[in-house]
Amino acid sequence: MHPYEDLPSRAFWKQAVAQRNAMELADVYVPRFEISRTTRITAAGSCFAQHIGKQFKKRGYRFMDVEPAPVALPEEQHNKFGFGMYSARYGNIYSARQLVQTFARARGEHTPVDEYWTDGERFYDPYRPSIEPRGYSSLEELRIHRDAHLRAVSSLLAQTDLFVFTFGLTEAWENLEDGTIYPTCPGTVHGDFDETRHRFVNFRFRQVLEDFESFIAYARSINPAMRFLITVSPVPLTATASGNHVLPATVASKSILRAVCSELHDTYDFVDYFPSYELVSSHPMRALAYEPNLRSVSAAGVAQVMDVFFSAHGDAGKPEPVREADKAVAPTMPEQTADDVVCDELILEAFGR
Amino acid sequence: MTSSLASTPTESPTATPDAWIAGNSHLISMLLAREGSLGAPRKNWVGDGEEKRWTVDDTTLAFARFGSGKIETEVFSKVVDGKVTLIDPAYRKQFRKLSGTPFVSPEHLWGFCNINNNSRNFRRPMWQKYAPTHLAHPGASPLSYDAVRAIVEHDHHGVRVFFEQLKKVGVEFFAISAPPPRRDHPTARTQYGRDLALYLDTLSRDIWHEWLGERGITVIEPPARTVDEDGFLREELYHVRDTLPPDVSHGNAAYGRMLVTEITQHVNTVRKAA
Repeated sequence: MHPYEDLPSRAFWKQAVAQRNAMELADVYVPRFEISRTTRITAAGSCFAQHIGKQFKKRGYRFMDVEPAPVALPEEQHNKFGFGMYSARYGNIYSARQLVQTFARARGEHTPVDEYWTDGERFYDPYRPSIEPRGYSSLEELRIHRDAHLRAVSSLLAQTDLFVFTFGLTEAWENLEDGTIYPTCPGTVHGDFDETRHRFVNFRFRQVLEDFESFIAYARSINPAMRFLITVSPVPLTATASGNHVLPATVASKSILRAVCSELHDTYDFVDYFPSYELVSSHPMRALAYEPNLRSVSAAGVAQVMDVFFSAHGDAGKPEPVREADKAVAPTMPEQTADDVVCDELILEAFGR
Repeated sequence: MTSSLASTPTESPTATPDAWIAGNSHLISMLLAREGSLGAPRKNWVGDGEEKRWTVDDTTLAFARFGSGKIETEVFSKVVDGKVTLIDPAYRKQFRKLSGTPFVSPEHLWGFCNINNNSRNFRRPMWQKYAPTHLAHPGASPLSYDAVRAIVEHDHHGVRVFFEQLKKVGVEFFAISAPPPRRDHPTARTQYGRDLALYLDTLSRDIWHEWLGERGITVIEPPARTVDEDGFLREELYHVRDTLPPDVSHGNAAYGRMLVTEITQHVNTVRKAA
């Protein structure tokens, strides 16, 4: 007798992976706790997290949105103004450090020295550069919108039972003076890059872990029963500033984030990990869930991944509909992403030579 | 207020119209003006879509109402065999009564009174929860100019599509604006509501002028003398309905007479140019 004799088939590569259709793996995710339609769910993270939030909403879960779109704004305009992407209009939050700082700003405990960017005519929020694509007409208008946003964010955790976060990147740009993390490198979407004020950071395992643990501590100080569902975005880096080739830079970044997820999952019984990263990017999937650019995840790929998630939770509701265009093999533009997900960092593609 | 028409209008059931005026409920002021000037009893004109002809200064206008302006935010028309037809059943029925065909005939000059029906927008309950940035107040989330503009442009959507279709198939037409907001509208009971109504109305008119100007489409606005110093419709030009709910949006016969003067002047200009 030995321990392997009684293990289920899901524990063996041959039976669980090699002999199965990669899109139909069984028991790849076993939920740690129940998520019901009464669970108040909040989401944040990198652009892939938008899929998760949208699926919760489509399937009738109690997805929190403290900054909902006005009813008269047509749905096709929602993403443009950051409505409906997450539980508040904070845009993409790529790193745990950015997450911590977002909520610290909301409770007035962190005030970045870099308050605004301007091109001389329009004013931009450095921490939500894509929420208003043309920026604001004045600094006063920016402040009105920022303050309203932060008030909304400050109310969010008290209304949350489950916080869903998708880790996106380890690479980021920070303000040298106060360490504030920018969601995009200054000078790319808006603003100007200044090497005396901005610097590249590539978070290490310990930093990511400590940042997220600090967020957990804060969130549970608001709601001691709060649970967390964490994932890693399968979307590779658009570009790396690490000096390495973008492929190993991506693998290093995702490996760190994946390891942090395991550490959090193993440490806290109120943290669950959903392997969307593995279901999209691991080699048994043969990149089937990616668009031809091998970066964007197709609608079909998203549907398959989210179906695994909700099936595991006993919800066999309709999966995300697959558009006819996604079933075809016709190549798509590299900047296109499934279901109109907004990825700020895509702009970096424009700088490739 | 006296009529500003240059000469006495006459009912002309057989005269060939120089222009066909169609649109939403804001036609009421022109139809009331016609009936008042002719001394004709008011009929149940609102729902029947019956064509009315009116000759003023040797210019004959034919009027008929499509129906409610509620549907104007969505597409209500399409191009079939090179002609614009209405796909909304109610509009389609009324339009056929007016013109005898399901199509907007390219043989006629048209005036469409279906822009700047702005109470449809400013009366929305959502404006208690959202406000344009400069009107933001506690409890209301600020909306940027771009977001508000997107809302206004969405309100214009169905009419924009209609006008694009008309241009595409070569129909000659001009647009007629609805009157400005009225102070007795429930939205205007508070200072915020008054500011909101005027802001959205002005923004809508600016956007329409920009859009129509780019396409060479003439727009007939309410004459300046119909608007008070703040931008509301002058009180003596309110249409007052003796049944509930009260009318809080439309102009009366006096307003209609002034608008018809503007329209006939434009039609005469077009005729002379032709």
